[in-house]
Formats: sequence, C-alpha cells, structure tokens
Amino acid sequence: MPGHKLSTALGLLPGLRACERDPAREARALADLACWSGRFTPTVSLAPPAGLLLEIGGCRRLFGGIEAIVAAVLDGCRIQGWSVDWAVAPTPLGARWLARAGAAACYESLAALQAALADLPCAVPDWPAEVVARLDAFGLRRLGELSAQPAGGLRRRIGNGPVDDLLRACGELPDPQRAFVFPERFAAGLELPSRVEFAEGLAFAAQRLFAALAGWLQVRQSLLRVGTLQLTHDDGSSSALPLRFGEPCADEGRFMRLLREHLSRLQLVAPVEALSLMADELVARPDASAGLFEQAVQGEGAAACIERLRARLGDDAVRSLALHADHRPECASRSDDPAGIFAAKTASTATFGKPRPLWLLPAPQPLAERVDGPHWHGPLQLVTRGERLESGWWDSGEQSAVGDLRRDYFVARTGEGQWAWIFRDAQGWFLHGLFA
Amino acid sequence: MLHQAHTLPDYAELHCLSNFSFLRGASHPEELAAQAVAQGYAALALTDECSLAGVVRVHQAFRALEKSADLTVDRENGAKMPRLLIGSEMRTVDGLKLVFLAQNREGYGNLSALITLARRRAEKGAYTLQRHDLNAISPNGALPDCLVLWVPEATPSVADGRWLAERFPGRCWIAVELHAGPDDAARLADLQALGAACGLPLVAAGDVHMHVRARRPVQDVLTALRLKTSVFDAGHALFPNGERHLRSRLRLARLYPPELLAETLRIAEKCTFSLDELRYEYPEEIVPAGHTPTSWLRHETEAGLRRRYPAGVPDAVRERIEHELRLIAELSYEAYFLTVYDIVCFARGAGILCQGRGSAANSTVCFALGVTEVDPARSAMLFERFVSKERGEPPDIDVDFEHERRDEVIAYIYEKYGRERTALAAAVITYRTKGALRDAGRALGFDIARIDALTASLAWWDKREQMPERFAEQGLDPASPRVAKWLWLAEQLRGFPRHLTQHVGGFVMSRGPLARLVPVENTAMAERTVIQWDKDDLDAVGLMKVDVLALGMLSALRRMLAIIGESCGRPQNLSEIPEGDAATYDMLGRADSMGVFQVESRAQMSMLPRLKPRNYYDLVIEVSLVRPGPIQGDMVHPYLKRRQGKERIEQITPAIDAVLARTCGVPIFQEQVMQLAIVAAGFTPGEADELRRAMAAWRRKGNLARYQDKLRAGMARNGVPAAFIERIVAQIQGFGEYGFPESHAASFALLVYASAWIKRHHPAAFLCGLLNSQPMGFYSPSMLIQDARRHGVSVLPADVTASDWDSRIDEGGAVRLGLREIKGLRREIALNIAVDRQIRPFSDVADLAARCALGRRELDLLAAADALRSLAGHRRQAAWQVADSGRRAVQGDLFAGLPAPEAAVELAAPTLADNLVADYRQLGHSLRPHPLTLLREHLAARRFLSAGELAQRGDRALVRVAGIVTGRQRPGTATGIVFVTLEDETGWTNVVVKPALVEKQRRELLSAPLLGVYGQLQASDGVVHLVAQRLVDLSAWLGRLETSSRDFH
Repeated sequence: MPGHKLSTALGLLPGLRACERDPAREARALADLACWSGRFTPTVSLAPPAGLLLEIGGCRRLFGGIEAIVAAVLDGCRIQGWSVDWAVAPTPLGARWLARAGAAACYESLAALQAALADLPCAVPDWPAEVVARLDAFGLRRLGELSAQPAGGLRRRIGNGPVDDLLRACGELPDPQRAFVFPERFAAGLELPSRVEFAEGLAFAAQRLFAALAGWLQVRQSLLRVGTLQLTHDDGSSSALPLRFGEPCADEGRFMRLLREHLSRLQLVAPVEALSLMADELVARPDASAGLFEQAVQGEGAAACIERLRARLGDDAVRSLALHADHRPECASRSDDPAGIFAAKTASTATFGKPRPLWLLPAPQPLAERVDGPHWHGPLQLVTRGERLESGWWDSGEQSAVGDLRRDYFVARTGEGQWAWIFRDAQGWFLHGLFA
Repeated sequence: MLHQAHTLPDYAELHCLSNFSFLRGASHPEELAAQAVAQGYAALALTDECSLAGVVRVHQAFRALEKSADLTVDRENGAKMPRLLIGSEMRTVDGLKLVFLAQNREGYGNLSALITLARRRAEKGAYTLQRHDLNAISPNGALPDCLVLWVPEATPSVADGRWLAERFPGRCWIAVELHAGPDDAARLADLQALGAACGLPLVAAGDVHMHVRARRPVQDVLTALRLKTSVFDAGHALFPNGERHLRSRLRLARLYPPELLAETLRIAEKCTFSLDELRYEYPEEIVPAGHTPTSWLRHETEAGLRRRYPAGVPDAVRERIEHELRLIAELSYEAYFLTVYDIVCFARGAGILCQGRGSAANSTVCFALGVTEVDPARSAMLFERFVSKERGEPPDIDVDFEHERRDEVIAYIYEKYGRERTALAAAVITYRTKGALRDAGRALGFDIARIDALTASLAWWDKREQMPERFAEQGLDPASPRVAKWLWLAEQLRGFPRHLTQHVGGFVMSRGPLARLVPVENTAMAERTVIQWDKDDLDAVGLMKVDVLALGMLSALRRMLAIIGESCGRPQNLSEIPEGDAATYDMLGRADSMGVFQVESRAQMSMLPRLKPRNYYDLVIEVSLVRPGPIQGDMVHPYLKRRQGKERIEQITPAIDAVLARTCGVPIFQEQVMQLAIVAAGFTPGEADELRRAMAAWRRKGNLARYQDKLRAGMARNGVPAAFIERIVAQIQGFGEYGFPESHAASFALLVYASAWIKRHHPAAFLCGLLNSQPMGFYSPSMLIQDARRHGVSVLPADVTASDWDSRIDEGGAVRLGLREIKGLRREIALNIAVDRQIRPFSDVADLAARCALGRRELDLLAAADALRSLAGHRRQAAWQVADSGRRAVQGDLFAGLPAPEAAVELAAPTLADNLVADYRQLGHSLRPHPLTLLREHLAARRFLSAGELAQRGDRALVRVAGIVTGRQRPGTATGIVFVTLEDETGWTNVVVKPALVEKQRRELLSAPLLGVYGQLQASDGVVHLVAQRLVDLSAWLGRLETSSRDFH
C-alpha cells in the first residue's frame, strides 16, 4: 500500500524486506527500453520517470497495422520482464494519460481520444498536489468535468499549465516531443527508395549504414565483433543477416567485403523495403590512448607498473600489505588490493612505539614450558613486562575469523641472542614472531 | 583470601568513570560500588567526566551495602567499607586531562561551580573548560580545597606540569595509569622523570571504565558509538585490553611500585567530604521581614482557617492544625510549605487554576492555605502518614497547573528566585529496548536499513522474550554468533543512562547559588537549566523540590467554569460546585463518563457500573482501583465482591481491620501497605518507607525478598493467619511500582467529581471546555461532539460569520464550534475574523478576504472546511470563489472589493459522502449524518448490528457488528489482549481481541479503518463487551472516507 510508513508495513507483514528505490537505475532501465524500442520506430521519446512514447503512425504499414505493433511491443516487454500499462492515441499526452489510467486500448481518432479522456479522474495527469487538491475542492473529479468549465476561469484558479496540458492531450495544442538520442548502442535503419528484389542490390544502400557505423565506432573507440543487418520485407516480415568478424574491426572496407560475401550467397525470401543495422557485440579498441609499450606515457608510475604486473601474473598474484587498525596482531595487517594503496590515505601509524616484529609466523607456534619458563631452542629470557592484549570479541565464533584474543605478549631472547615475540594465554606459551 | 587480605597493599581508586560519563563508562555506579567493596578498596573516587550525576547512586549503594548481611561478616574479618570520594575528570580545550577531587564542603562547592561554569557555556551535553578557568582565584591557588591529578598524555610537556604545580601548590599529583601496555616500565620511568622535572609527586590510578573485565565488549561498543563507527572500524580507538576495571589488589601490587599505591591512601585521607554534609537551605524571600518561617506559616494558616471556617474553627480541626504545625516545626519544613504556598498564591492571583496533591498536600495546613481543596475531615487520612519524623525525607507536594499556562508559573519562579538559584531536577533518559537494539546493531556494523526494519517491526506490545522471534522474522538467525552478540549487547545496554533531560516539573530552589550545591547544566530549551541529579538523588540527599506539573483537565475546567459563569451566573469556582449530587453519581454509575477526568478510559468505564460510586470517597477508590497495581495484585475482584456484598469481609486482627476497613478489607492504596507493615509486622515508619521504595524498584532491582521475609515474620509474630499473610505478600509484589497513593487519588477525585458534575448539568459548557483545551484526554473532538449531541446538546458548525477561535455557547444555548477545529488554521487569523465581524458583518468572500487580509492558504482552508457557506454557498462554490487569482492581484488597492468580471460557474453540489470526506479531512469530525448511516442498509443486509441494537441482545449472544475503528488499545496489564473501539451512528462498541486472534488477524486489526467483527457478547453489571472471533476488513465499502484511529500505548 503506497503511503504506509515502513513501520506500519512491517507491522502488517512481519518479515517484509524493504528496498530503497533507485531513481538512477530506473532512468537507465527506461533508456535501455527506449533503445530497444528503436526497432519499432525511429521516433522514440522518454517520458520520465516511467513513460515511453513510440511514434508508430509512420511505421504502421511496416508492421502490418497498429495491433501488430502493439502486440510486438508488449511481447517484447514481457520477454524482458517488464509489465507495462499502455495506450495508443493521436496525441502523446493523451496516450500517456490513458496508459497511466490503464486503458490498454487504441484510440485512433481524436474524437475517440477525447471521449476517453473525459472519463479519466483528475488525478491521472501528474499535476502538482496543490492543483489536484484544488480540483477536488471544486468537485471536479474527471477531466471531462474540467474541460466543461470556462478555460479563463480555470486558468485563474489552477494556472496555465494544467489547462494547456488538457488542450495538448485533446490535440488542440501542438505537442512536439524531444526525440530520444540513441547513445550507447548502434541501431540504424533506412527505408529503401524502391523495393529491392536481389540481394546484391542491397549492397549500395547498406554502404550508407556501414559508413555510419564506422563513424560511430570511431566515436566510441570500439571495434565490432558481431553485428546484424536486418532486412524488412514488403510483407512486413523480416530476416536477419548476422555478421561475425574473426578479428574485430572498424573498417568500412572490411565491412563491405564481408557483406558482399554474405549477399552473394543470400536468397531473398521477399523483396526488401528497409534495412537496419545493429551493432551487437563490441570490443574496446586496445590501442585507444597510446601505443602499447612503444612510448611510456608521461607520469606513468607504480600504478601502471602494478597494472602490467597484474596483467601478466594475474590479479591475485599481486597484493599489497596494508596496516589495519586492530589491536590483534593477526589482524594488524591485511593483504589488500594494491589499487587501493593509491586511493586511500596512508594507514594509521598508531602501532608506532610498540614492539612489533616485522614477520609474524603464519600461526602461533606452541612453546614448551619448563620450570624456568618457556623454551625455544633453550630457555627464553623475558626482556619486557607483559603487554596485555584483549580484543576482538566481535568476530568470535565466526568462520575463519580470529576471534577474541586474551594474551600477554613478551619480547624474549634465546640463548643465541635471537629476539622473539612470544605470548602466554589460557593454552600456554606461544611463539608469534621474530625480530630481525 | 583471608590471608591475602592482610598482606595485600591497601588501595584507593582515584580515577573512575561510571556510565554517567555517557558513551565512555560501561558500568552502573551501583556496580562500581559493589565491586569496590568486593576488592576491599579503601576508597573509591567517582570522577565522571564533568559530571556529578552518578555520585549519589554510589553514595546510596555504599549505604545499602553497609547494611547488608554479607558485609557484616567481612567486617568482622577486618574489612572496611570503602569511602566515597567526589571528583570529576575534565579536559581543557587544549587537551590537559585533569581529575579533581573535593576535599571538603568548600572544595565540593568549588568543583560543582567549576563543572557548572564549563557546562553552562557549552550546548546541552557538552562542556568547555578553558585553561584560564584554572587561574588562581585565592592566595591558596586555583580551585581551593580540591586536589588534582594530572593524567599526562603519551609525550607530556614539562611546561604543563610546572604550570599545574604553580596553580595547585602541594595539591597536584601525576597520575600513573599502567594498563599492561607495550612497555609499562618505560612509561613509569618517563613519568618519574617528568615528576622530578616539574616537582610533582606520583600516584597510582586506574582510569577505570568498568567494574569488571567482562564489560570489555560493552565498553568497546560505547567507544564505537561515541565515534559514530562500528567496532570493526574503531581500530586503535578501542582500548587494547580490559585492564580499565576495578582490578584486584593482587594485580595492582604486581603492576605498581608500593609507594605509588600507598600514595593513593594519603590522597584519600585528605578528602574528608561526604554527601551527608550537604544541607539544604530554603530561599529567604518567602518570609516577610519581622517573621520567622514558623510564625509566618502560623499567620497564613490562621488567615486561611478564618476563610475556610467563617463560623469558627471546629475543635477537631484546631487540634489537628496544632499537631501538624508542631510536627512541621520539629522537622523544619515550614519553608517548604511556604514555598509551595507562594507559588499557589501567584497562580491564584493570575487566575490560573491549580491544585496540590501528594504526601503533604492533603494536610489540614495545606487545606487551610488553599493548596488543596481536599477537606481532610472528609477522608480518613492522617497527616503522619505523609510527614513522618522518622523518615527524615522531605515532604512531597505536587501542584498541578493548567497545562497551557504552566509556563507563566515557571517564569514566575525563575523571576522570583533568579536563574542562579533555580533549576529543574534532571530526568535520566536510559536506553530502552529499541534504542539499545539500534545502537548495539550499529556498533556491530549491521546496516541501518536492517536495524530500522527490525526495530520498526517491534510492535508497541512486543515483550523482551519475543525478541529472538522478531529477529528470526527479519531473516536474522538468533543463534548465529553475530546476531547472538547483538541481542546480548542490547540486553547489556538496556538501562544505561544516555543523557540528562528535564524532569516534568520538579523545581529546586536554594538560598545561595544552586551551583555550589549541585552542578547545573543546559537543556535543549534555551531558557531552562537542570541540575545533574534526578528526583531519587534529591530525595537521598534531602534536597527538596516542588513539582510544578501541567494538567489539561484544569485548563478545561477553568474554561467550563468561565462559560457557566457567563451564561447563568452560577458557580465559577471549583469550591462552589455542590457536593454529593445524586444525578452526577447516577451518570457515573452508567459509565456515561466520556470526557470526565480520570474515569473516561475504557477500563474505568467498565469499572464504574460495577463500583457504582455514590460519594466522594468512592471516587477516590475508583481512581485508584483501575491501575496496573491493584489489577496485577488481584485486588479488584475481591474488593468488588465484598462491596457488592457477595463476599464476607473477614476479620483478621483489630489493628489490620482498622487499616483496611475503608476498602472492605482489601489493600488498595500504597499507604495501606505501609500502614499494614507498621501495625501488623512491626515495621518502623522508616522501614515502611524503605518497603515502599523497594516496591517501586523491585522490577528493576528485585530486592523485595528481604522485606517479604520480614513482613512474614513480623505478621506471624503478631498472630496473623498464614493464609492472610501469603495473600498480602503476593498482593504487595503485584502492586509493585504501580500502587497508587491515596493522597494523590484524593485530589484527583475532586476533579473527577467536578468534571462529572459539569458534564451532567452543563453538557454544552463541558463540550466547549474540552474542545478549547485540546489536545488532551482520551477522546478525539469527533467523539466528544457525538457524545454531547447524544446528550441533547445542539452543535453548530464552524462558520466565519458566527464562530470565534474557541467554541462557545450561542444565544440559543447551542454550541457554536470554533474556527480552531479547522486543521491548519492559525489562531491569529481566526481572532482577526472574530474581531472584524464585530465591526460590520462580511458582505461576501471578497470583503472577508480584504478586511481580514486573508491569503490564499487561509481562504482555501476556510472553504474546504465549509466555513464560508454563509457567504459563498456550498464548499465547492466557495473553493471556486476563493481560488480566483485574478482578484487577489488587485487586493488591497483601489479596486479592492470590486467583483472581477467573470461568468458565474455552476458547480455540482457535493453529495453527503463528498461532504463527509471533506469534513473528516478538514475538521476531523462531521455534524452530518454518520458515515455508517450511508452503509446501514448494506450492513443490515449482511446482518451487521449497530452499537445501539447490541445493547438489547443478551449475554452470550452471537452477533456481528461493524464500525469505524476509533481506538486500539493494549493495556500492559491485560496479557496480549487488544481492545478495539468501533464507532457507528448510534454509539460505540467495545471489542475484545484475544492474543491468538491478534496474531492471526494482525493485518485486519492494525489496518482496517472499517472493521466488521463476528463475536460473542459479554454483558454483566451493565458492561457490554464483544469478544471477537473473526475480524473482517470492510474498508472497501467506505470508498474515499478517511478516518483516524488513536493508538494508546
């Protein structure tokens, strides 16, 4: 139920999992859908946050009627996992409002549109809450009741915006839409000046598309690995011509050579009316910024060096050692993604002044205990007073965690003069590290 | 152990923080006290950061431990009680960390004043100590009569040490705090060198943050919370080990050189101050020149007596007055009575209704002074019960004032005594379940959404035991290590103090500067200050406070009396309301009590027909009986049965019978329990008072057993039958903290009667008074209006041509609702309308808008609320008219008032349903037919009955009822039951939903605005409940109707 507080919702449905709404993702999804819908019409407009306008008047013949287009669009949406409210109407705003009201119908004439609009509640257009409240106060619940009022009187009460919207929706004011710019994916099409019945005849027209593609790839610094040439036949059907490049390329000449090879073997099922070309798989151009190893980029330092090492040895083989603020010796350093060392500020220096060996044993090694204390290659002489470390309860009992430590650490000396870092805990004495 | 005790070095801990150093200390003061005893310390200094908020608790804990049996054993073995030293840790803005210790009363005053200085100049919860605050103010150096420990940082500066040595000659030490760090030996050597260089001696100290090592996780969590991070990311900000606890002397002996430990004792010996030395001194100005407090109290009491008894003071009263005045003089309580009296006099003079209640308030002296209207002759109460020689604690008088005018009283107090001498008592805000879960979760790094989801899913009735279930519902496995830690830590945090806030109204006033008695700090409200002690602390050290409380019913009563006075010249004073009115008691006996003070709740309404009060004292009982205490102590049913004569009142012993006679042999009041302890079990009055405190606290501390044993033994000795003893003991336990004192009930009962009398005889004034005092009470204006209409009051809608801001009674005796009922309308606007209308009636909306300078928002509100109907027709037409922006553009200029040239528009008139929707949305009520009348046919077809029809069905009938949910309530006393109130056009139905159904139909219960209930009737003694068997959500039938329910927690 919209409008519930989270606590109420949880009270009603204990165990409900709440997710934050992500407007950025919604916008991306809408743009993707817009790109995809380019396959139905070149004229697509976004109506954020959740609307998409497809100008299908021009391509109705291409698909064999409005119903066919609608069916194809809905089918496509369904396959992609979208559930959509839709309507087809002569004006963009009319179609949007009817879709929002869940009309799911086609209104081909203006008269049909206006009749349908008259029946819509005033809450359907996304007018400001203040306007909606005001209309409610007037008792004007449906758009029809609204249009029945004198426009001048309305303008003085709810402003020009809603009144103009109404006129646009009814087709009484022009309502040009800003076309969607297909930014990320190449899908271009063109209608042939006349029907083409032989495959070889397509090459000339296709050249324009491939030219555009080459230019676009240039802008994108990309190479094409797989593309599709879509042929739209005069009976509304279409066939696809997949183009695969063993070595990705961006060269118009090579495109055309490959195309000609394909076309020479292609038997057209029906005359072709239109062509469209889609770039399906791209790879980034490797020499995008500079020649590889030919000349060192100015300022290339450790980062690039690490990049190359990782490229050759594998990501996991190159790690950085970072100090980590934790009292537990086992957790006081961490193997890190080396990329981080340039981003993060230098690690804390809080360990300064504490006796800490450079090398810790992978795991503390139990020491024998005799009457005179711990032994490691002979008796150990304790050099410092115990340093007590008790920390880490927060991850005790968890898998592969260090857990709560309770130890007294000592610096000790062996008979040979080797310095060791040892500790005592409930289990006894352990060697934990050696000083260089 | 015994052997060790003699060989171990003695030790005094001089640096110790409790959890009153918020988000630092991880132990309660009481825990520290007990641990200091267990470790055999010679002294414990509580040195919370810039605070003395915890000291009284340690003081109290030591006192209690001294009495307890196990210590006596130890004492025979030579163990002594540790002494409490009072001190405070403070850090100057440039990082000097110091611990101050008070040597004597002077030093304590200086320290308290220093804390106040540092606190008052910072915002709530913070403090600022400048170095120059420590400049010498006397020939003896800075902060006289205090010792100071310097806690040097890692690399201390010799200059700082010399600076301190100069300011605290012979009174400054370097604190050596060794915690088994990386190199304690080196640290000690460094500090020794530092001491030599600055000429400062060294002393051992512990920097204690917890009473035992095991609190380390809690301390880590507090640290993480303080730094607004998690324990995973807190890193080296966490202490490396758990050494900062009250360590054993054995451990200390291993860590410290003996001379440093011995030095702690020398310092402790120099500090002789005890909180027992604090003496409270009353303000002087309450007594005019030439009088002593005793003579002035006598003077004013006599004057009051002449007013109360114009025909002469009866002998009994005279005798009682003399007795009370003697007792007051012996205890030197005159000034307290006079302070209260002074405030009450101010309120009277300002026309603010007020009434005293509580222990001393119902004395004959207070009756004479006019602090209360409870005539002691009318009830069986005795003054001694409230003021006793033995208890040695201050008397307690709470004074209730009109809730909207209490600020005037507070301003008067501040003005009269000055800010330096007045402050509010503190209230300690402690962690409750949700807060503890939230903070523990945060410190353990759970993401905020997860934590919020969990805490939000806790319904207001969930118990602690259900916590693991709630975790599981959120997909958190209570058995997983991380979640188990979360639960454990939350449990630990519960009850930890979080911050100090102001007590609801407890004022402390002193003769000299208050800050020398107890530190004063800022609150969130700029003009208020609080002391660092709460009510219990004040009691413990014998400081007095006057409770200045706010009571909505007093505001309502004053308004009702004024309206009655205006319209018929009859009573305008509470005391003028005739006593013992049978019609009023008849009404209460029918549970016809909506809006009446105290007895309007659902539980009270079901009690009234059973109790059938016939006199004032019955009301005192009614007020006290429907409380968690008597209900859980199982006192209600025995009392009712005996009262109705269904059960015999047993005779126990003459002494007990005398105590319980007025309540049919069942103890109902807190005072009776204490009285029983005295007469039947041989308690002294002082012990009885301890019992009362133990009862109040046993849920928290659980130390009632000692008193129970004593009660049993005492009563058995006096020949009380065993069965009665066990019943009494069980009742006292059930009573717990919820026992209601008769002394408060006696004052409340007066207001119950007064408000009931007005409801019975002046229902229109009653409605106006309540509406004009909203928000208050149990019921919404909508319910109050419906109730009044059913009592024959005619109610007219808010209308700009007739309404004022407040509701009032018009010439015809009808209630004209005020413009205040319009949601969102500002008071000044309504006042303007009322004033301008007096000059000349409004000709139309344009005239109204121009003359009252109404903006678009106000006009919209008025139109939507249908308050323009007299000027502009129905609300749609009005909305259309006021919405015209063209006219507003010329408003106020030459053309003002000229109608804009525009074709008239004919908008369809709203239907009844439309109007109801708009009424509820804009006003919260409607005077039109109830929404359910629209659905009645529909409902009847599905055999849903109305509330009115229900009353005619008998007990155990199976019925269906539908209504708008106007209340959901889950009293803490009724295990798991939810009470729902349904409203229809005929009245209200009380529905009982049992726990099993609550769980099964949680959604319908919590969310359906229109609820259908299938269930069985329970009718007895005129009380009708419907026990629900099935709930159905009928909200779809309502369409667009919006209603609101009030959930009472």
